[in-house]
Amino acid sequence: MLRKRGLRAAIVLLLVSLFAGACSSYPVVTTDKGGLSGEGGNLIIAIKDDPKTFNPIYAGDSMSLTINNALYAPLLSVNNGEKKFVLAESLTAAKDLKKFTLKLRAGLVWHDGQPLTADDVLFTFNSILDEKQHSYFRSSFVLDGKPIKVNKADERTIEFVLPQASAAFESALVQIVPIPKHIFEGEADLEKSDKNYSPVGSGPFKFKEYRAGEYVLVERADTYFSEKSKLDSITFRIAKENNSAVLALQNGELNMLRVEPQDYAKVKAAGHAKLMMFPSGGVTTMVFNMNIDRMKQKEVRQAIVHALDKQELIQAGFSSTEFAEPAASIFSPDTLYVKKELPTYPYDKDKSKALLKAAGAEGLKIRFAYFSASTPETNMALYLQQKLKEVGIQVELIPLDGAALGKKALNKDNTDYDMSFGGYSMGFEPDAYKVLYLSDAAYNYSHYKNEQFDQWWQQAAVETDANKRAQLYGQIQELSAREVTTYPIAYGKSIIAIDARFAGIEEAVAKPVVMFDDFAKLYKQK
Amino acid sequence: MNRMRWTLLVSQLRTQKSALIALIILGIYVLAALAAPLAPHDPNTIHLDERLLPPSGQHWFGTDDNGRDYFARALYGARVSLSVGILAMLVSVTIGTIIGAISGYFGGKLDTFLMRSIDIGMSLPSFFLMLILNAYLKPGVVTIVLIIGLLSWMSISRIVRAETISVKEREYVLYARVSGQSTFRIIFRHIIPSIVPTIVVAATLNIAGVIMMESSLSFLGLGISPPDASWGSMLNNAKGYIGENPTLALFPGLLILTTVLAFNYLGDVFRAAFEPKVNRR
Amino acid sequence: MKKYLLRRLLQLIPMLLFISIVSFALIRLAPGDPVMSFVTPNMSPDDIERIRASMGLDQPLYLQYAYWLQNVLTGNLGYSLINHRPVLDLIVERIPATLGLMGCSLVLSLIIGITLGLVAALNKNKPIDRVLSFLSYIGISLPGLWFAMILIYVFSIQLHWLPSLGMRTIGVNSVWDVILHGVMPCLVLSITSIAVFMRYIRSSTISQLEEDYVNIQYAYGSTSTVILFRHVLRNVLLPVITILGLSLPEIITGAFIVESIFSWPGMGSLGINAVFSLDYPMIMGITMMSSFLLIFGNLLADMMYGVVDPRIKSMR
Repeated sequence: MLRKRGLRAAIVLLLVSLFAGACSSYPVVTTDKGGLSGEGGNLIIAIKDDPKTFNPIYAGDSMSLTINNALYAPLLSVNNGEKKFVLAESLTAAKDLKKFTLKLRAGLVWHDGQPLTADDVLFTFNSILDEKQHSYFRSSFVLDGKPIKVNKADERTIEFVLPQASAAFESALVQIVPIPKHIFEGEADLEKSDKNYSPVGSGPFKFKEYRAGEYVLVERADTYFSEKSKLDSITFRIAKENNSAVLALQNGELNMLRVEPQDYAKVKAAGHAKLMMFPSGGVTTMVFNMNIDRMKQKEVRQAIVHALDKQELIQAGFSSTEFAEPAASIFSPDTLYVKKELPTYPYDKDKSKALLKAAGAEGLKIRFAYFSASTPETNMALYLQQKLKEVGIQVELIPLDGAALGKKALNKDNTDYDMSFGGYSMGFEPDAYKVLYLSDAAYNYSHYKNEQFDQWWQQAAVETDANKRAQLYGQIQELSAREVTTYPIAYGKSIIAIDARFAGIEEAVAKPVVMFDDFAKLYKQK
Repeated sequence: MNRMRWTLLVSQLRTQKSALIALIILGIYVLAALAAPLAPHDPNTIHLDERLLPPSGQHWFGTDDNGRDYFARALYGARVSLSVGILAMLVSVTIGTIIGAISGYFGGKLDTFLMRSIDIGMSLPSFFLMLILNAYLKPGVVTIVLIIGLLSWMSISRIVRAETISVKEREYVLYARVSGQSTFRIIFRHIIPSIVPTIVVAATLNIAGVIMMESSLSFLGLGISPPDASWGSMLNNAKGYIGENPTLALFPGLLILTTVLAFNYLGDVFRAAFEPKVNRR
Repeated sequence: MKKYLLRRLLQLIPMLLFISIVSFALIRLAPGDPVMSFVTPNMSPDDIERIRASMGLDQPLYLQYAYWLQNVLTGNLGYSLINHRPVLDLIVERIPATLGLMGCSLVLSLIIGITLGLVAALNKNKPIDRVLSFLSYIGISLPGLWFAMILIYVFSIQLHWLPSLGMRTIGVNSVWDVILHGVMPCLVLSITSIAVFMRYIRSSTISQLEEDYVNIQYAYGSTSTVILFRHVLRNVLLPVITILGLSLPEIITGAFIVESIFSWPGMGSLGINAVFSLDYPMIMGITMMSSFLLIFGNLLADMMYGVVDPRIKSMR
């Protein structure tokens, strides 16, 4: 009898504990959802993963950048080469490009009602430059080993004094959004501050709620200096699987998402959504590792690219050339001074074989590393392996995970593989690209070394005459293409699908990484 | 004793038609894997103009997102999946049997130590270990075999230990000991042969488990290195196309299911044959 | 009993310690660098090195382990290298979703498994038993990913009955909504254990029914229902607790896969991301958490067994 009672007790205990576990995962959301029923509506945007931070000076992932773009207003932004002032009213550069003066608009406030002044901007830059805060943006404001100096001239004016002339300063500045001094002042470690999780911003939306693994909810900020948002709120919803996200868009569970090329036709056919396609600003390349002797031979590099059909390579990686434009220059097409007419290497097997023979490199074996989690890279690598085999080059594929590939690539003496893919998105300012191409640059993955090349980059950086700059950058692109230092494959495109019930898309301006420049302009049609 | 069990097994297979079906299915898969080079298409040749075709007379299973013939890939995938299953099973059975027999035979402190180590090993989340180990080693069949083999021997050694303990008190083992045979000889000549049936059962079920593990490893994009495929990696690649091309997922999934099913079923038939008590039910 | 419990609890300590050393060594010897997951070409090598130092990654390994252990003993699992937050916070806010899914799947497995097992046993060798037995083979042989894909294809893509994304619909606040979202993940996670429980219950019920006491009860004139529920079931259900403990590892592994397929906001996707970005403290946190869950689950099963069957005390 005793045993029986024990058994019953045990089973009850077990069930209770299990149900307790089960129930605790279903807390009913208690947030006030009043905003959701308003006229402007709620926009649900899919993001791939949880944002890594709400503090803009540590934001590097696309999720954080997208959400911060709603929460925080930048000083100024650049879309398709056009400058737009946001918190700033003006930015004036001294003639020698060594001093920049930024003036804020009058009457700016944070979401909590506190005024946003030059002190906040100064605090932001001091925090970024503070080595102890290890902000991800510090390097952008350190020129030649010397940090820039930031001074407050008056309540609305900030001066930046550069240790050397830099035409790229403006492009560094557009990445920065001010953070509130009155919130963060006195925090020993901004990166780990609790305050990052109740962010106070200055943008068109204010933070409302974050549920780990599920969503981030932001709602219209009435303190915003410019035209208030037409939307009541935005929910950034975490959707890891593409398929489920596309399905959710069709069901109306989601209103907006980034579309992968292979899903384009499906989303289009379903017809619930408008599709937008625009240049992503990124360049996909193939990199020759010139730490390897064979790769130092120009003929070998040319032979390899002659063996590839760029159109097909793109089809393999991105489904169709519709979704990625064949690239010629190492600069993305929206970059200043980008050159259209450059030496190209059409698909020519015989020429490839002849070049290999001339270089004495017949029976060449190549170790090709790629990022194993990337479908485009995997498919391009497979195509490449097949194509190079046709001219007698054996390719051994080395799939690597991101952490391992990055570590190997950054090793200046890397000889672990002969070739790999590369990709970058450096913005509109050509000077930003030099960190990828200077002989001793850490990110010069091809390890191509050429003094003349370096000199042109350095000259162009401090050259103030636009014609001369154009000429220098022209030479750089020309040389790179002739020498095949890096083989530009494609300029990627971003595709965004947005529920057809939403409008204001033109005004909001689609933008790579953050999806839209100004979410506040979107609204739900009645 | 043993011969009697094997006879029992044969009669079991003869009377139970479903066991025969399981054997036939596995036989077909093994033959298909061996005959893979006879497939009309190359499994790895990319045809950019033939991507994602539905099944047809030309391509029996259709083509994948790179325009590769899916039937040929399934055949070559069978080689990978089946050999991973068998090799990893051999690794884990070998380790598991040796450790289990030693632990059971010697008993005492050694036994306690080995069993506690196994407890710890079984408490490590194997899934994480797989992920981490995979980062060290070059992807490929050998890597998967080692990872899975090294992570799945522990339950086998527990079973072997229990059997060893019961066998070591039998007369012939005691006699061998008294007659001065070396411990090594006793374990390998007397104890292990007498527990072979148990090992066979465990091994059969282990193959089923290994093939399942391989497919969940592939789910994380780990395992076999491209362009080669295993059924698991094919299934994983099909993930993005469930809506439009469900057959991409259907074929590898069915192949995994039927193979694992057959091994599980055979394992039970073996057990029934070897353990008459179970047989009674 | 108390003494036994105490001894078991004390045994946990060296075990967890050992697990932590093994995992730490394994994780840290992996090639790759966690810093790589947020490095951009705009960051200078000096700044990268400074960030690495701020994470303590420039210290010798044994010191890093010592710091980690010291922190853990004070209840601090460290800071995630990628998420800029305490590991413990990140885990705690996600553990309810994972436990909920696991709990739901255990309950489902028990209820369905036991019911079907009894049905099969009572109809031994009849067609229904054969069908159920075949289904149970499919259940233990079904690749989880494939089953999930089939469910999504049928119920989400074709029929539009069930959502396949996350745990709730944005803007809808109801338990029903959560249940709808949970149906497929829970089913995928339970299918194997349902089959395992069912097979176990079937075979042990059959063997119990053949025991002498059953015949004696019949002789005394008891009805078969009474015998089944008063005597047989008690003996059959007892070992289920142990099997429950044994099926924990599979459920934990399964939960990780299921969560990432259905974007379920639990620990699983956190763990998978952590492994891929080599977020050391996060990986350690999740590894320790899952090991603890596993060991503790087994301990709990043993304890319950002890409570249910007092003989166990004298046996150990």
